Amino acid sequence: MNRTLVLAPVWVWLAVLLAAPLAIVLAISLAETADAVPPFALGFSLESFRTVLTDPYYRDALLLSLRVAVVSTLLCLLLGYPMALGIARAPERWRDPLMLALMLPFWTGFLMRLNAWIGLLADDGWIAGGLSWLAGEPIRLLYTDAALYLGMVYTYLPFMVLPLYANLSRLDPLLQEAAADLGAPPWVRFVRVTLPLSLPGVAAGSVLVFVPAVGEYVIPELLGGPGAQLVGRVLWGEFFANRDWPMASALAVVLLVLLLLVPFGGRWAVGLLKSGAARRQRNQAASRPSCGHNDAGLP
Amino acid sequence: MNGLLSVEQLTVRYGSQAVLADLSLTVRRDELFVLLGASGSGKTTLLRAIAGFAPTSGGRIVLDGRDIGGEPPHRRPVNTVFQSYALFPHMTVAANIGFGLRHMDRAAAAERVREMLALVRLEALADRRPHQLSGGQQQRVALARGLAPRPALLLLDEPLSALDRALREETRDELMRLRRVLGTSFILVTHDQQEALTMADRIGVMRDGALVQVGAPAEVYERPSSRFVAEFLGAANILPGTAREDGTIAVAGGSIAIAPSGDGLANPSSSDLFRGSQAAQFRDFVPLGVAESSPVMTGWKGHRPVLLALRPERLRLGETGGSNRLAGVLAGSVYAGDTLTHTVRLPDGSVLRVAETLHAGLPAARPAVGAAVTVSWSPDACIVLPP
Repeated sequence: MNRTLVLAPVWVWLAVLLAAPLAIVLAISLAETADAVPPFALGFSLESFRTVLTDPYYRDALLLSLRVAVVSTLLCLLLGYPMALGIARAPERWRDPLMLALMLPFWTGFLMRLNAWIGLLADDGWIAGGLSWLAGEPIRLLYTDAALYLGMVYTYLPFMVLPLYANLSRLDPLLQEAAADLGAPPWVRFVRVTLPLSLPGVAAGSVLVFVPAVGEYVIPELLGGPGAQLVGRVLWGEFFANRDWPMASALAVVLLVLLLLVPFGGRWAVGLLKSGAARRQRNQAASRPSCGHNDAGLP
Repeated sequence: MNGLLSVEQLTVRYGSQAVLADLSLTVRRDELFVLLGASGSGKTTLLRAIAGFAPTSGGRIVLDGRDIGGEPPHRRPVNTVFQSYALFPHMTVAANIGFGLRHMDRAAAAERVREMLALVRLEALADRRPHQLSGGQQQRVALARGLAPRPALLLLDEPLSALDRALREETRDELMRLRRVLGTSFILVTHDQQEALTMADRIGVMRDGALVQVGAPAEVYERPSSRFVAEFLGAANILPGTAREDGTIAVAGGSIAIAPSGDGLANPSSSDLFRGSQAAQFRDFVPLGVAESSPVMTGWKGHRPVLLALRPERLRLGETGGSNRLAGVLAGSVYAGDTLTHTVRLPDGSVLRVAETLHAGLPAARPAVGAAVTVSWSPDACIVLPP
């Protein structure tokens, strides 16, 4: 009884703000366009889904979004892992200030910061202007893929660093000592101890970056070139420019399904890695000529 | 000297505080050397300095004739068994044991892992992960992992302290068996005097970052060099007294005869190992077991204050213990199954504890509390210590 009462707000929240909107989007995605306000007539038509899945325009937008998200995630990982490791290994009194420095930009509005980047990257801005001056020829940065990725990495980096830091700072430093004690130089300690133990952090950070990056609308719109037709922009266009609500909704549903697959895919990939490692160990064990033990009965 | 490891004037500082000060120590080949001390005595720091984890600010660490003091931990031919084991949680037992064998070719490494698994009798658990093992099994994996690369010296940091009592004894026996089989040299750190006495070839007693006495277990127990060692290893009654020219000691309540010769323990030729600060302080006051041939502290005779230390198990209630005796009043008796420990209050208020081993069970006739009793002991039970 009490339990139900305590959980009631959660259920109400989920019902009103998650289930209901999802149901509405799903309903609209199955509707047909109509010359009305709002511009659809409820029904059951898979026409929008058929178009989304077959028309190269939408397919390309989805694929491009996935590619941009994957590359952004990898860039965040490459940049964020050393940062997280550095902060986790820093002396105790430095960790909080360093984390604060990482989070500080987020205390300013997102659009404000992106507009600042527009200023910096514009042809006469400090960065592009400075580079042009150094190169002796005009260099374009704003509205290119470089600017798009810069914006993505700049925005999502903390989402990678935070879970990684949480993971890495919890690793027992004694394991590093044990590995060193057994003759492992620093890079072997990293590859064989730190990295495998931090995979859950890598997975968490990657999902936190990848999922919002796929549907990102603002960054490609403000920094990316006209070719960066990501799914977020296409969706926006369908909804506001074409007023094709069923198409926009179908696109949203497809995107949602794709994103739901990501954590499962990630878990599958980690499982594959782990079983691969286990198989390698087993093969090693099996290659021992007179090895007496068997695997029977072991979990 | 058949020294394997020689630590010379080692100093380790944390900040401005010296945790180890000018410490010297020699560990022989194939011996099990136990560092015994209370927490904070610097014994673990010494172990970490040898392994390379505690930066030293002075002195040398020479292993097999090679100064390893400046080398990083992964280049030192010593391995450590950590107190909490520090097994790699993401690796199987076999992979843990094989971690230090990266430089061997695969077949040889696999063979060595198999060998070590057999040695610690964990063949059946080779593919388990550490969290699937009991504490005792984890301990054996840690041991096998440390021994696998054939270190010149294995360092054990309180290896038994995380185990419950029954398992501790079993693991101790296991450790002694491994030692006999392998003939490796060990340094073991412990705060448990029983562990030290039962396992060690030699014990180094540490206090405040310095070694106060080094010697074989019987030597350190029966001929402690200071009051601290006498009380740290086992129980000791301490009576202040005055040494006389005739070789007796005057204590409150009587005159105590000291044996002219010791208890027959071979005199160690290890006086060079003894560099305790106490000894330096009492240069002319050479403790038993350290002087070249004198069984008794030479130089204690003459009118000067000394401490007389008496082990409770060497004392008898009554007249049967020997020629030395003191009269007192029985203040209480505590029954502990195999022993009955009497507390005897002497006329000057000091207290003697007398441990009676109950060979034939609890005797029916026992002196009552408050009765006048005599405590007797033989002259060779006396330990003369600097005050």
